[in-house]
Amino acid sequence: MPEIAAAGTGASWQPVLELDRISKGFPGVQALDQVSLTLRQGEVHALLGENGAGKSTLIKVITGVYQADAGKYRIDGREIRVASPREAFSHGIGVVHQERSLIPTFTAGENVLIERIVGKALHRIDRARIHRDATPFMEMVGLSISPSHRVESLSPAQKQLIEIARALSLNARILLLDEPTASISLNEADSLLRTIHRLKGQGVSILYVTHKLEEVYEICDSVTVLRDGKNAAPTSPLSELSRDQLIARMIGRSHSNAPLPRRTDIDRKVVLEASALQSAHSPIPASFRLTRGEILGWYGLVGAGRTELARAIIGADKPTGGSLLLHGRSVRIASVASALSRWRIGYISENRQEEGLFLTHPIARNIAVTIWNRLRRAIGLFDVQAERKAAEEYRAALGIKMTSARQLVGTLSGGNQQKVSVAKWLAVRPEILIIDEPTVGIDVGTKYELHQLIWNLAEEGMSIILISSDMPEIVRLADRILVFSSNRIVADLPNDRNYDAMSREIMGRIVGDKA
Amino acid sequence: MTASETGPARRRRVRTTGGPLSAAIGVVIISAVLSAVAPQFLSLDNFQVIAYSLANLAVVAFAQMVVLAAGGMDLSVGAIGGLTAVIVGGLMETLHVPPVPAVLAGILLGAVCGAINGILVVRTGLSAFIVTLATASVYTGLNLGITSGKPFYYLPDSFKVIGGMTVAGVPLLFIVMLVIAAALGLLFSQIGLGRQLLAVGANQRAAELAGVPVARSRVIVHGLSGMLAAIAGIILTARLGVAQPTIGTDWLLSSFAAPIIGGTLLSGGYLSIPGVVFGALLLTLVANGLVQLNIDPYWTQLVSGLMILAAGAIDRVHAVTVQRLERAERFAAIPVSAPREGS
Repeated sequence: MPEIAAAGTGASWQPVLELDRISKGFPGVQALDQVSLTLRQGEVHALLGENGAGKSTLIKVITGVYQADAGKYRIDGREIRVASPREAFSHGIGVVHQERSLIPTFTAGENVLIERIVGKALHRIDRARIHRDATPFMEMVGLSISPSHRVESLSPAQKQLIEIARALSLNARILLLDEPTASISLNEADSLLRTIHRLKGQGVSILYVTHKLEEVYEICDSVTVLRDGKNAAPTSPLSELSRDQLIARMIGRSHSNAPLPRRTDIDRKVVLEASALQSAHSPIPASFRLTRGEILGWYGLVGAGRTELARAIIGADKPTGGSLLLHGRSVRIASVASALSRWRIGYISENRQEEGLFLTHPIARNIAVTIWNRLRRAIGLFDVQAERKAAEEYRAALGIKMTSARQLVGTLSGGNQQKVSVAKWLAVRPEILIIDEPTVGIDVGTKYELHQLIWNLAEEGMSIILISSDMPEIVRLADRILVFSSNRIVADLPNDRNYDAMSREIMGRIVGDKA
Repeated sequence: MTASETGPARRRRVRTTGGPLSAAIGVVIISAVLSAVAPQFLSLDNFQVIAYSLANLAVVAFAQMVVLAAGGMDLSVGAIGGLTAVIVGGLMETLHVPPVPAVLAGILLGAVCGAINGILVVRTGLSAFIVTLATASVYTGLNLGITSGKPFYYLPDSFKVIGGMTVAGVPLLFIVMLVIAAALGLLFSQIGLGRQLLAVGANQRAAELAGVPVARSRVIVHGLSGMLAAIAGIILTARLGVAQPTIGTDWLLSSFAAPIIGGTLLSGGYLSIPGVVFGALLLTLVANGLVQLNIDPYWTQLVSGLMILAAGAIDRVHAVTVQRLERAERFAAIPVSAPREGS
């Protein structure tokens, strides 16, 4: 593996964790392809990449949740196999996953020293002592709350710090932090970064996963960038890389997919206009326009507030301010049902399994659910034949691979499930369709089929809002791109479909906003 | 600056003390009303009646509470209580087993029935609802099959005397209930096992990641629940002096109602033993009060149902308030650049 010129780093910085050409595949996806990474003693090492680049998989390989298919894994120069999270612990690897893993009804101290409770079924738990013993670890991460405080009443940042304190209490020398600042406020993030800095001073080696470049420049020493499950470049010292170079490594070049034909004439008639629209979940007033037959891309990193704004538009969250104009007339959309039936606005959820589909129901019923009231006959009887006919029509149009319309949706592949989800909304013939992350977790072939489908819909005059964190996808499809960052629309860019220039511009806007 | 300054901690406290506190307030209010309107309410006799009733009901509620706290539920609490009652009665009447070994055998039987529930839940992956709905029928079927629905009347005097025994005017069975409450209090606050059970109830995934043996914990908690249900069955048998096969048939509602009224979270992870006792007392007082006021006791169920709804509503209001506060806090740090307008 490539040697690293340890610029600005003392010779005493020994590698503590080395990954050498690690590969990990899942059915249909090569999540990691020969990924190498070197973490040195006492450094903060950034692990960067777009969503789906393989960062979380890599973290899970390091912590023994997954086992690599190939490649070498060394700690302190010795090759090891880590078969379980417990084994990773025993090698001094502590991890704070993106999702919280605390016991909410327990005290802070109990959560920090949870191993004193676990596996000691018949022992008496001396809580006063646990609280006393947990205090130094809590102080280590800068938590000055009482250890007898219950965790559920703490802020997200405090919970994060408790998880770090727990890892430290297990003598972690290597700390893996997966987007620790994603769900916390700016002040809290600041305090967390200071804690990381202090831990580094105490000799802890930290692997830091983040999307926020300014944090990287603030605390990290070196960086590994993943793209499509591969090293975008070997591990390098951060001081050698400019922000632009780093962004270039993250986004890379477009896939070798054929460009879609140019959209012919786009009607400039405004269909939907939001003016300072806000809701409890989308608290910053947002304004934008959508014209007929337009594909409006909403790009942003996960958690940038795009779904929240969409929910305010379709009436899933009650708007608390601003207005929504449909064909120039101010409307109040009271519910998702009326958005669909009265205003003909459809929303395809990014969470198709939980919110979009009835997995245990047949395909036909899933597709027809949006038009049930149309299928009902005079005396309220339900026309099963018509339901099946509607399903068949869309199956053919979308190329859904199924054995019959009676097949259960849960048995379809992800890509085909997504097509059913789309079919369901097309059945209503909406005027405006909001599609949230249409191709996450879908194989490349189906992805391009869906792209073509979305393109065709717009060509037929439907107005589409495409929410996506997939840069190539958005540059390929959108006519115009709104860039979201921290719940705000930070840019409104016409898309010239030049991938390099567009992706640079978009990333620059996000980074610029955060810096 | 440390992170603690940014996170207010005042809010959630309301919810977790809300249950026990509101149940206790309810007890005080009902007692005050009853002593004002029903002259017989404040008599030693009536206190004893209440104590006997509470002794049984509280233990029934404990049996449900432990499973709820670990994130499950048990619909077979009454069936186990009834089966235990007739087995203990049968052992003493037909096989002439002395009371002490008979009672111990009954408690063991309850633990086994409960553990079977737990093993089925863990092994089959079926929900506790389905498993215990089925085993409730199985245990009741055993009970009725063995007895053909006929009670065991001729229990030894040495057993029946327990039912009426008092210590300084306090019924012995009531003291038994208090001892059990204290033991459970110790278990869930001070012993590793109890904390593990709560951890499983609060966040099963996190408990698993922390190394808690989740499957074993769930079997143990069902076994414990069965044991408590058995004790409740034996308490009632001792009190009645007859081993009735119908014991336990009406426990289901109150087994859930008392913990819920007392603040135990249906979603698991938190319980309050004083809360459950107050919840059970509240239910007992309502039933007692209706009798005192010469109202048809058939109305008891209606009042119990309303109390569950009230307790649930209070819990829901707290939960929504907490959510709102959390959301407000999350967005507090985000600067607002555009002017706010509109309604």
